[in-house]
Amino acid sequence: MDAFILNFSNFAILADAAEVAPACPTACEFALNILLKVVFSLVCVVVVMSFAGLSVVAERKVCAYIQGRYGPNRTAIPIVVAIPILGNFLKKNGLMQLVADGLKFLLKEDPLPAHVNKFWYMIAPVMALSPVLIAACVIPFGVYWTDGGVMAPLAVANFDVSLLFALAIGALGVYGAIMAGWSSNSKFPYMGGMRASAQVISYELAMGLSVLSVVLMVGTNANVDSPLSMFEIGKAQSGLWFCITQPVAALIFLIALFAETNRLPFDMAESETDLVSGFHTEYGSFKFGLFFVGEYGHMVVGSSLFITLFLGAWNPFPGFVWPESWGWISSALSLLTFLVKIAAMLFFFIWVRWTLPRFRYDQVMRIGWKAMVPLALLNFVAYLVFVSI
Amino acid sequence: MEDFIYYAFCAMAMLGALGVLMVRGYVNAAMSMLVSMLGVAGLMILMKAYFLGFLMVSVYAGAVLVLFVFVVMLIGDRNDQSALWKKIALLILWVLAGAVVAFFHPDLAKYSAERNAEATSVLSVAKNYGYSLFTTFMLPVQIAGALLLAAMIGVMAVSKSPARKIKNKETL
Repeated sequence: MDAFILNFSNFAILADAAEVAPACPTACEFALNILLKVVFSLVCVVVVMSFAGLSVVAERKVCAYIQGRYGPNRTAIPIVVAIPILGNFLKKNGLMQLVADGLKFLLKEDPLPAHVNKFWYMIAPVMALSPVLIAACVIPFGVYWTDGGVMAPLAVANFDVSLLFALAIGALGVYGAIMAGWSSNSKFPYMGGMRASAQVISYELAMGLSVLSVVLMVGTNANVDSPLSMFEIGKAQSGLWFCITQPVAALIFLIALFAETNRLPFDMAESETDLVSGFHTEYGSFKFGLFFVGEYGHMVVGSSLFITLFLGAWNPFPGFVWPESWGWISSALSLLTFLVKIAAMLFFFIWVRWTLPRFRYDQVMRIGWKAMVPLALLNFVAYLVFVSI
Repeated sequence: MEDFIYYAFCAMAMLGALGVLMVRGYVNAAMSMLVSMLGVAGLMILMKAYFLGFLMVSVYAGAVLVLFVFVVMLIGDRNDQSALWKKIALLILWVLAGAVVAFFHPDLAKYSAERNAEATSVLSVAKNYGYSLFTTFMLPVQIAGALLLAAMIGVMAVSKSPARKIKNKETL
């Protein structure tokens, strides 16, 4: 598998393109290839970004529901709201508020405080957002069957260490928070950045250890030659899902995921109660918008990782897979299953945020080092012993 | 195309390494190191050592360097006060060292497609790392582990002197 020259031939659409291709000369084929790669990447980015945008609305609506309020339901775009049923639906569900928020990020004055380190201050939001979008390219959003009846994932890139890729690139996202905190040259952002770095170090270890037991589980199967591939892990869950066979690992991964994505109750980097707004206190307008989208994008990618590792990937129920005989309907259903699961995970993230109070910083560190890491290690060793017997 | 990417990663690795020496401020130096590490990881991936490359990003860029930055921020970022000529002298020293290595081992400095193809079959499969770590290199790995453990215990012993009281334990 040639991972570096990313293999996009596993896309269903390309099957149609390949039939057109032979008529083209080589240069045309090359251009088509590059164009397709760009288009697939764009589709992937659009999926992640629209989920991020929708989860902003969901956050406001769900929190309103939890607190017994209505949430955003008045913002209306003049002409669109006049459309009979759709207009009212969009207005009542706060979807027009999303547009208003986005416009606000774009159109407000972009402040550049005099005391900041300008280079890193400008670059930090990009450092927060771009790793998320890069990591999204390996997520298998669904499956399809090639003409030979071989199952293949609907991912922009599918290669044999894709899980490692997602974890590695996802881990780089923290530099956005760190550099934002440092370059702001102000004490609360500084503390926020420092907390972000300490938290990521503490929880990444537990996360990696919990993933190991799943990889081991997939790897012990003789038919699998690359257990670090997200596609193989998803495929291995055609029977029981790994959240059932590996409950401890799933729990540890989930908790570490909350810590990695900086969500409450691990909201240390921007804990509003003690740090004003944490690492992005000095940011405004579109730069803040990038952090905002980056956080939700991180949630989307993190949820997809969790779904692929533990929640059965594109399979609808434990022990049931979409049958190959249904053809493209089956692959559409697999895609839909994955997206519904992402939505459910996002709801879970929001639910937890508005239910649990924030931990204290020392509590976060204590849980990380004295509970999560030993537990993950024990779980891994126990499973290792179990496998070798 | 592949050559272009190769040179781009090389430039990243070299300029990042140069940056570590030349820039002012420790955080800037750490970020240069990040660029350099990403460049090296890219080179590994270009040699089809995917496992090693992504592990490099995950462990070094994703964890070790974050730790560096954390420590730098904890003790306070100060600008590097050493004079420019010292840095340049250091740089020239490194270049000379590289030249000496390249002179005595011309193979090390040479990039060629054949060498890549040779390495590919071994490096591209993650299983091979496991086999070689637990067979051929068992003893070195164990010794390195024991050394690291000893170093860690030493650091704990040194840093936890009873005379120094830790104030403001929970200010972070």
